[in-house]
This record gives sequence, C-alpha cells and structure tokens, in this order.
Amino acid sequence: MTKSYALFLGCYIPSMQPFAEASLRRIAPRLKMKLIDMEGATCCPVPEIVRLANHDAWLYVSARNLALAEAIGKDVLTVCNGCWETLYEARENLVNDTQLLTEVNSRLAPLNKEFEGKIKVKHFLEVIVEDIGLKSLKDAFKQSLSKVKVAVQYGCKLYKSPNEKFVSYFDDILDTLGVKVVDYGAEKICCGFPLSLYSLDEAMEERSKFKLDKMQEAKADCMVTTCPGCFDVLEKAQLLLRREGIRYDLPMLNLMELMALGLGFKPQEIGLDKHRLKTDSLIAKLGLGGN
Amino acid sequence: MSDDELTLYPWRKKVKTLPESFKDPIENIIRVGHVPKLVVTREKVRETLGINRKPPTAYKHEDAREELEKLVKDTDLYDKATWSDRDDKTEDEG
Repeated sequence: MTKSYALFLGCYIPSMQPFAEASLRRIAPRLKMKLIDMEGATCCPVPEIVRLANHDAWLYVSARNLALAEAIGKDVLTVCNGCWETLYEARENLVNDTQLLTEVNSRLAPLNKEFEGKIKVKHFLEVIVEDIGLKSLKDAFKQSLSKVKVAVQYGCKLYKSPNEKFVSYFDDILDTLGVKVVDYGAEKICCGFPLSLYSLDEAMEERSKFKLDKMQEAKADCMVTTCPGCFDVLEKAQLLLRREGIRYDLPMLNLMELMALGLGFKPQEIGLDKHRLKTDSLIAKLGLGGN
Repeated sequence: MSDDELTLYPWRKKVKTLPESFKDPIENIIRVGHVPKLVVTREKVRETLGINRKPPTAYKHEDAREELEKLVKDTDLYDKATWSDRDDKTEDEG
C-alpha cells in the first residue's frame, strides 16, 4: 500500500544538493511512497542559529511549517537531520503544553494557520525502516553495491533520536543495500558545521580534517550521510583544504543517492555528475561507467 | 533559548547581542525564507535533473517569506538582526 507524506525539503537540499532531492523523487514511487510537497514551507528554522538567537522566533516559524503539514493531513517527512530536530522538538514542545500551543496559535491566526498536533514528524530513516520496511527496500533492490566501502557520517542529531534508534536504522539500511561499512573510529565526532558558523577555518582544522583523515586511513571509497549540513561542511573542507595541498578525493553521497543507485538508477539520472567533488572513482568501482 | 533550557544548561547565556556570524544566515532567512540563496546556476541544475526549477518552498512563494517575516517581527530577533547596523557601519567605514 502506498504511504503518503508531507515532504519537508529544508534549505540545503533544494538549493545546494538538488541531486539528493532528485534521488528521493526517483526512489519514492519504487518504494510506494507518495510525496506531497509542502508548498510555501520555509527554513525549519535552523536550530544552531535561530533557536539560540530567539527561542520564540524558532518556535513560531516551526509551528507555521507544522501547520502546513497538518493542512495536508499527512505526517511530515524530513530529509535533513537539522530539520528533523527542529520540527520534532517544536512539535513535542507544543503538544505537551496546551498554554504554549494556544499562545503560538494566536501568532499563526493572522496568517489563517493553526497547528493542533494531529500530525507527527518523521525522519527519512524512520520512514524507510518503520513504514516502508527493509524487506520492501530489499525487494526493490537491483544494482549490487557490494564493492563499495563507505564511511558513515551519521551527524550529531541522529544520536538525539529515541534510544539512538536512527543510528541503528542507518546501519540497517546500509546492510540491506549490501555495502561494506568501514569503522574509522571518529563516527561520533561532529563534522564541524556548527563551528563553521563562527569560523569555517577552525571548523575545517579542528573537526572536518580530523574526520576526513580518519576516513581516508580506513580506505573508504566514499562517505555517506543523511545530513545536508555535514555534507556541506565536509565538501567545503575537501575543496578548501586543497589550497593547502591536502587532497582527499573522497566522494560524498547522501544516503538517498546511494539508495537510488541500489534501486538501479543511472548516476546521470540522479545527478552524480553535478557534485562539486568528482564521483568518477565511485562510479567506476560500481562498474557503472564514468560521469 | 527558553527559560526551561537555561535550567537544563546553566552555563548557557541568553543571546543579547546577535553574534556577527549569525547575521548573514538570519538576514537570509528573513529576506529569502531559507539560509542559502538559490542561485541561477543551481536552478539550472535542478532543471536538468528533471525537478522544478524553483523548489515549491519560500524560494518560489514570496507570500511564504512574508509570513515568516511577520512571525519574526513578533519577536525581538527582527531588531537584533537589523541591517541598519550594517548600513551605519558601512557609512562609518566609508
């Protein structure tokens, strides 16, 4: 049976990493997922900035996004770790505090919007494992990925999921896809994204470089993540560190892209040739031809 | 940060003056509706990938951005992120 979701794209995927969005839109029908766009959604807003700067602004804007999903009548599908954190926690705040919900709805009322707490917020990993099922994923699987060794960048937010279940879900999906996961020993270290908001140089030196070194030492063929923030900063780090003569050549994929490859989509169909970091070595390893 | 969070994380301080590094992303959120701007080259990439040139979010819907701006104006974040500071600074420097 097809399951429907209110799709929350966030900021970075549609604007900076459209190949991830294209992958999602390609794989969804194969996995019997119907995606309903949340027309007029805005930034979630980004927790590392807006929640710290002004909690009320963070909550009002989150509530507006939640109200859009509720008007559609479907649970929210988030494809960004940061968006999941914001919308999940904002929803928890609102449904557990009637007075707060009333106050926030008084702000939404002039916009003809209301949030009652009828819908839930789900992470992509949660939807694949709990709603779609790993068996369905396996049944849809077409292209062997067994030659690929991946380093996983879970991202800090996944460790905030109940009992860290999203971390296990990530592993379960990779296991179903048949890829080899390398243990590089720095999985729990932050990528540097929050630090990059203060200083990109410090983030690269103190966080990203450390992780990239470890991934390279573990001989990973690529890095895979579900976090567009991690993707962005680790990609920038690889590109900018080249100025210092440090070269990693570690292709980076969103999990949705890796799944699309496993489901038989060609690299060009999902935009692997549109990455700022070349993915040729990965494509060659998979035997799918160059870009 | 809510007062509840102050109890949970007593070392945290309430943000009184917005850190300089927050201003650009907050200004983008208020003026665009999202943190990164959508540049034309990326619009073209989206088109070649067979997805809508403009995502169906505030990137496409100006009214959505206006609604966000109204909500932010209900708080002191709008004043904290005010760009008039920057204009003054530019004039001083000029």
